[in-house]
Amino acid sequence: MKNISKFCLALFTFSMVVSCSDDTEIAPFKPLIFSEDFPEEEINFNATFDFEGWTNFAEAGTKLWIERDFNNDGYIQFSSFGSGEASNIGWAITPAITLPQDANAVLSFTSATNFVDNPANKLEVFISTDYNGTDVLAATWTQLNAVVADNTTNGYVYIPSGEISLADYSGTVHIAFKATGNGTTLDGLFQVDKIKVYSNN
Amino acid sequence: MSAVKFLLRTFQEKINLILFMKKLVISTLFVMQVFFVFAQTATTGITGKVVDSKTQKPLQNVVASIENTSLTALTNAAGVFVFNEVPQGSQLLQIKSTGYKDQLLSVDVIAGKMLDLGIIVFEEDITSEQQLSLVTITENDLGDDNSGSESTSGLLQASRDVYQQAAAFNWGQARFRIRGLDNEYGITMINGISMNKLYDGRPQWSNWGGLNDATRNQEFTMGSAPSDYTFGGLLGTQEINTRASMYRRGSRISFSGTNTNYSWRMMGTHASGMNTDGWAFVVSASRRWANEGYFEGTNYDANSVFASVEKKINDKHSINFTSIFAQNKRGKSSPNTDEVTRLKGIEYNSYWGWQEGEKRNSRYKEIEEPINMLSHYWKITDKTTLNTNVAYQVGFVGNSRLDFQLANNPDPTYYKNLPSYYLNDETYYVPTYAPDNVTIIGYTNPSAEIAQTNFVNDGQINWNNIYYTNKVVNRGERSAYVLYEDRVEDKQWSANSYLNSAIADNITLNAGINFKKLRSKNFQKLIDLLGGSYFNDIDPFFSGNASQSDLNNPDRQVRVGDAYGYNYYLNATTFDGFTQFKFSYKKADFYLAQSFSRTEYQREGNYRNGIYPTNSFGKSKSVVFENFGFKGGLTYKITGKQFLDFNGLYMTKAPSLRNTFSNARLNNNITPDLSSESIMGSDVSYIIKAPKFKARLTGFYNKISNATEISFFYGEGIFDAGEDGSTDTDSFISEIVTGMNKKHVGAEFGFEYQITSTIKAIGSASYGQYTYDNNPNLKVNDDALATSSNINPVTDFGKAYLKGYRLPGMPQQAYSFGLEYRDPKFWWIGANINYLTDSYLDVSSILRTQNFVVDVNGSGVGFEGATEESVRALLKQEKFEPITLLNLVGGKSWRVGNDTFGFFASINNVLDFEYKTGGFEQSRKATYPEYLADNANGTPSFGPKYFYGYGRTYFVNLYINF
Repeated sequence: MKNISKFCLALFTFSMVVSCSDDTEIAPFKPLIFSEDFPEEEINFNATFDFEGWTNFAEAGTKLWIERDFNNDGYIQFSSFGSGEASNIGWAITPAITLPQDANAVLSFTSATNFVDNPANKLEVFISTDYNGTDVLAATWTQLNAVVADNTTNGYVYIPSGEISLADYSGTVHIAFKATGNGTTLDGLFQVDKIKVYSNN
Repeated sequence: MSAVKFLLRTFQEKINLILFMKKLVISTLFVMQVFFVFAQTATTGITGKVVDSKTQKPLQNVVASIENTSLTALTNAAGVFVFNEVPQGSQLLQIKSTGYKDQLLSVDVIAGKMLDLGIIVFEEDITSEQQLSLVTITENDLGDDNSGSESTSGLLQASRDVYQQAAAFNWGQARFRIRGLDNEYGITMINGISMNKLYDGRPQWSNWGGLNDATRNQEFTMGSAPSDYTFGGLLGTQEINTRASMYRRGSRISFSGTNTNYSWRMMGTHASGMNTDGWAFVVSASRRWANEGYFEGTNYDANSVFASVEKKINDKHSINFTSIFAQNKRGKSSPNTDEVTRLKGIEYNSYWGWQEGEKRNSRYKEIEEPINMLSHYWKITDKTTLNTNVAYQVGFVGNSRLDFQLANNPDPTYYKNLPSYYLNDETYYVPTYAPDNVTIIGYTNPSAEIAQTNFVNDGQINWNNIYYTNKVVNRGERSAYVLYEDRVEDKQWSANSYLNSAIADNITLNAGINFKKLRSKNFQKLIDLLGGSYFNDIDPFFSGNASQSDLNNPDRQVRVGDAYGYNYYLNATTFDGFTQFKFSYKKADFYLAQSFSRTEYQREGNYRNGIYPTNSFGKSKSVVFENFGFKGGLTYKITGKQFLDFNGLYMTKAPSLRNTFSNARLNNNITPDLSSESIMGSDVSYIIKAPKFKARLTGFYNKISNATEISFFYGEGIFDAGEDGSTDTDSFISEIVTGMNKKHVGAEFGFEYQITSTIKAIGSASYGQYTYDNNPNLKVNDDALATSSNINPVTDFGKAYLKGYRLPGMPQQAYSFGLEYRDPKFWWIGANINYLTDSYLDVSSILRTQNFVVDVNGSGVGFEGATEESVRALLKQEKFEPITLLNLVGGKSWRVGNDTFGFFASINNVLDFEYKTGGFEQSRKATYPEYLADNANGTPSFGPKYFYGYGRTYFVNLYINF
């Protein structure tokens, strides 16, 4: 019996030594916070861009962003060609994006141009933390330092924006793509696609 | 007159029996505490006479040994053993012989006296009947090749350790594996020649299946403990000795019925014993068969013959010839998804179909690989023996399957035949409307309902349709469907020589060398044209030259018996040697061993494959591995009855032939990043060996590093679509995982306690944590990406994040408790209850690469919706439900004249507990959104496939020994 109790003690010790752990790893990835690649199935060719949650606003003139696709790949486009207006400013603004605290978020997208021959005919990217979803001009917009297609880039060639840090932001934000042109000299077109906001952690 | 004679004889028998019973009761009572009768002699020694409890006949060649010394003695023809010059004092005497229970006797040796233990009655080991009846689950061979889902019960059946017996007899049915290790880490030998296949490192148990009587002389070592025959591995060694003079003289015929993988077994064995001219022979034959085993459509047909002849030339030399011929053909059973099992039950098998009133299984496995072996035993001196063996094994293994071209997949569980396919595609849902004919109030899925009805009502291979297609639609010309075998035809020479020498009183030397040369032909063999008259030897998934199996012989029409598809040789030459020194002292025994091996592999293509015209035909580069190993251990004797035992091992191991050529069927490419495994093992045990109580507690820590695993499957979303989006991303690929580390940590415990002289309690416990210990590298070979400039189309997928996942395929915890009652009147009964848990699904490696979570390769940005929680939830490893198994065993034997009749019966899983023994994730939906979509409504089309254990099964064996 002495032996048996000794054994039980030893057995108990062993089971304590071999402790439990069930942690598994997962492949690292940067979780998406927001993405829009304008899927071809949802594109209404040349129709005014009206995806749910987005704002499509003409600050000057009447031209708006439109839906397009090429080679099974959808995108949005702004062109002031033939508007006959002295100024065309079009905003495409994302739905509200919630950036978690410490998300270290990054924005990336691609853009392309054609017929743009003047730096004043341009695409700019902004972020706002106080846009209310309707009143574009009342919001505070901060320009983001993005690489965008311009008069120097080749026609219809998508340019990656690079990783634009949104690390300074958290909570609800909107991102705006603002194209500026007119119906005469600045009448090139701008295309935007593959918009992603992801955590860089 | 004859009636009177008969009565008289019966009367006589009865008296004999009564006398005999009296003797037996006395001897049983005193079996543990022996009378000490002192004879007047001058030497200090021990003597005794060993007899069989049933026949009371003396037993020859019983091994008696005094624990903690190197003293051993064998009984002579009169059953008597004698030890001279035994150290005086309290000693433990162990007496053992195959088929009998070991006996451990405490004796007091007095100087100058010969201690006479009198008659020692040897009882037959009841587990030996169990051993002769064990249906190794391994025979069921669930995997497609000789792989994966196997338990180690075949290896363990001859073990005497309580824990290992529980592992073999009680837990084997649930695929328990000792220390979580695959059979490739153990070595199974016949006369010291390793029977582990060079192809995958695993022994092919079917090579001697059904010859339980003839293969019962076995020695077993556990873990890295020393064996006299080989350096060994991490799991242990099993040595089957077929030397004819080792078999106890006698004959045995047995007949068994069971409802496991076969229904009936007949076996007959005769051993002559050594005659005065120095000849001994053993013959044995068996037949096992079933029209249908436990699972549907699993027919079974096995015949085995064994012969061994020994000629003792003189006192120093003996020659033995052994011939083992075992043929085995059996229908396989399919692993099934939960959806299939829910519709058809666990005994469902998708591999068979009705043909002219018979169940025809499309997937059978046939093995016929006879072994012939010549052995030379040389007793060089009293202290040194040299044993040399040469073996030749030739034969084939065939695994059949249906092949088809430009026709529907005949698999009844093909995903388009199952309701889930329609349920997972929204276009098959039809709205139902409210009476206003506008408002949608719900949806139905008639296609899913039809698929379900068809599958439930039929769900088997439609042979009639196959024949109709070939015979009528194709007018009996080109077969759209054929039956073929993946066939392996091996020729292997093996030779070994091992030395055992007592170089000093307390030092023993073991040394051995082994040589093997294998030529293995691998090809697709056409078995049945199924009503057509030829089959086209092309791969219809490719076009032009790439569709040709053999550019040297393009556009062949193949017929029954022809090779087609792929055709190559694998050549291997291995050499290994080891030395081992064992030291035995009063307080401690220890040993040291080292090994060296050289392995050379080469592929030789017989076809010039159309996809790989420049690297498929002819010889590959030859691959050489040089490996070594060291091990050592110590047994510290706390007292004569308590021991501490330590073992440590470090070795490297060449990759198997299977894993060396990553795309062997098509080309000569060598697996990228291929390297030897390194293996580290250690264990510590505390052992008690007392006459009434025996127990062992062991803790172990094993690490296997740099392992390689290759698997084949169809994958979707593994390669990105081309720029125009038109490329078919669904491809047949091979997945190459290298640099994989595994950790096996745990403890095992076993005890037996003789409560009374007739009742024994037995308990065993195993607690393990067997995990992947790193994130190995994963590469994928896709033939579709091969070009003339890319003859090794391997894509690097980076790391597979496997660290922390459990190794699959076996319960990592197991517990057993049993009681045995052994009546002096030669019957016995036992029951044990077992609880097994922590068994896990085999996870797909490719699902754990970045490819699964990252949308655009290289960007690192996850798919929409993929968060750490959601990915973790999808990839969580499935843990199977715990298993409870109640088993009953019993037997009785009668002596009639000089013969013994008996029966043995067991009922396993008395409670008819339904359980999964293993399974694997499918890799077809290899990205997060695809996987999510497939699992969206709970009935994935590509869900995991599972293997199930047997429900309640029985085994009854009737035998006569004469």
